Amino acid sequence: MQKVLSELRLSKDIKRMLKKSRSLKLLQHYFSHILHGRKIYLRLLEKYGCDARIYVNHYPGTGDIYITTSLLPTWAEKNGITQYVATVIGKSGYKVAKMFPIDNVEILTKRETEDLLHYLQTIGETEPNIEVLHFTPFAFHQKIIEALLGVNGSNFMDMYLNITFPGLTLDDMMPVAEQSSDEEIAAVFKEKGLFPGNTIVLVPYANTIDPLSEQFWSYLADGFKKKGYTVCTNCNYPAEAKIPGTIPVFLPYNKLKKFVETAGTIIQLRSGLTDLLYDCNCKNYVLYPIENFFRFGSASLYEYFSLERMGISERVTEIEFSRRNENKICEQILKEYCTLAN
Amino acid sequence: MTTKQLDSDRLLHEKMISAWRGMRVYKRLYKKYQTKETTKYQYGNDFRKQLGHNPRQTALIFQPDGYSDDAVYSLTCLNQLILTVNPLRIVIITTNPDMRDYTRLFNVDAEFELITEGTARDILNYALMAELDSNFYIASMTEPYGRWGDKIIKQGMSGAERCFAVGVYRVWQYRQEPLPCYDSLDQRILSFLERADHLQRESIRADLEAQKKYAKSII
Repeated sequence: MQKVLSELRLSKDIKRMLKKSRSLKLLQHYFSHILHGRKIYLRLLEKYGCDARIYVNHYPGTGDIYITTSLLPTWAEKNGITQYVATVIGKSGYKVAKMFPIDNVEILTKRETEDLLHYLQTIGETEPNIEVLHFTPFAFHQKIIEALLGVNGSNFMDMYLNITFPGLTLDDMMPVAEQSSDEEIAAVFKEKGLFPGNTIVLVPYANTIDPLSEQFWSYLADGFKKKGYTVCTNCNYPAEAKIPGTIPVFLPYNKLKKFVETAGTIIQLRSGLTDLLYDCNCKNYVLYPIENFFRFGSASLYEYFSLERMGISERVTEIEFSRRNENKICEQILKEYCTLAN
Repeated sequence: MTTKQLDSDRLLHEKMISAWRGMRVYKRLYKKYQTKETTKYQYGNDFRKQLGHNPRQTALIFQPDGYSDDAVYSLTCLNQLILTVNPLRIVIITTNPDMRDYTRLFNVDAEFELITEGTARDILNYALMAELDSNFYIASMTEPYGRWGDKIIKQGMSGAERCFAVGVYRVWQYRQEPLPCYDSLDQRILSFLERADHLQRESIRADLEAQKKYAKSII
């Protein structure tokens, strides 16, 4: 027994040594990340042709993929690229990318995308076939742009248009083709027991922004229900928890806009879906809590992600608030909404 | 395998060997300056801890090209780095032997490590493949690949000095500082100061234009 314990301790010491050893870390990075990235690169070239340009989406966030894939067809045309493939992470990214006229979309895992980017950073610009569609990919070492987010009042869209897609403007974003009919949406409303025009859609989940408390959303939902509205939560129930007392709804991206317009109102925590639904013809409330784990340079969430500042939409009502004042914001929204309705 | 693939293989292999050499240099530098520091400041360590200083704090500033504009910014923004990080010791690793004289202008007591261009390239290749310590500053806005500071400046989003101070040195509360006065007739130093002055003016102009441009989106 003592022998086994001493051997275990020895292997822990070895593991600790391996973690501290820069030389072993370097070898491990080269063989398991960079060479693996190269294999994936060669596999993609073999599948799509040696002259194909590979555009890598490194982040699985809906908003990022929406912006890059809506600008990609124009970007490729501007650079004279006819044959290209866009890589995305996960099925949700694939669904977003397929809303636009991009022929080849390849799903990679997060690890594969990171290794591909490690390979790209190592070879630099010597390999012109590969391009990353982000201004500060997480996988890159020694980044500086992450500290410059929001510099001189610039915002999220400015970073994409100036660094990733220089020369393009907001007008080059491709519109999404509507793929749902009024009957389909009416059927969804009937099935869920929702009232068209008097339904509140709540979007409480986001990747980058810490969630608000369940109490906040419950209080909001109860407030609207007392006024006679039906309330639904946009979530993949039961994998994602719905707000208590609300009806869970989960629709494909290309039907969500019509659903929200039929419902009448959407109240959402700033997320990728906000970018997808920026031009909805309905009451659109977007919430920006001040306190957040992720920082964006020296700018606040509102300064960096505001749709109005980006120049995308003027119809949204954007609310920036401290998380300590969640209850006050709830009351403010209910009061303002009901005043407008009357 | 095609010729192009063989060339890429060879390039990767060369970069790996260069990164290995760069790692050896990096380890040697850390060992050299960390070891010296603990023996030199051993007596005062406890006192400094009480004040909130980290007694092992050394700022290593690596200039891949000691003759570039980035090397000039690394000196003009140096006092702001000192105010933000408060290092006990500064080491400048450079390819330019004149950096010693230029640094004295800014009243900074720094140590110097002169390296060759080949060694600088090795350290950069190592930086591509490993996450370096936070007190090792690579004084360049374009190297290693992926920094893209030049795109920020070219697109008019920021002046170069602000981009350097905030991006490379992480000085969040950046303020432009005037250049030091110099009365003597050493032409090298006069031309360095003239260059620094020109770069600062360009940077101020670019910052003002960027602020006007993005203020429109706020209003």
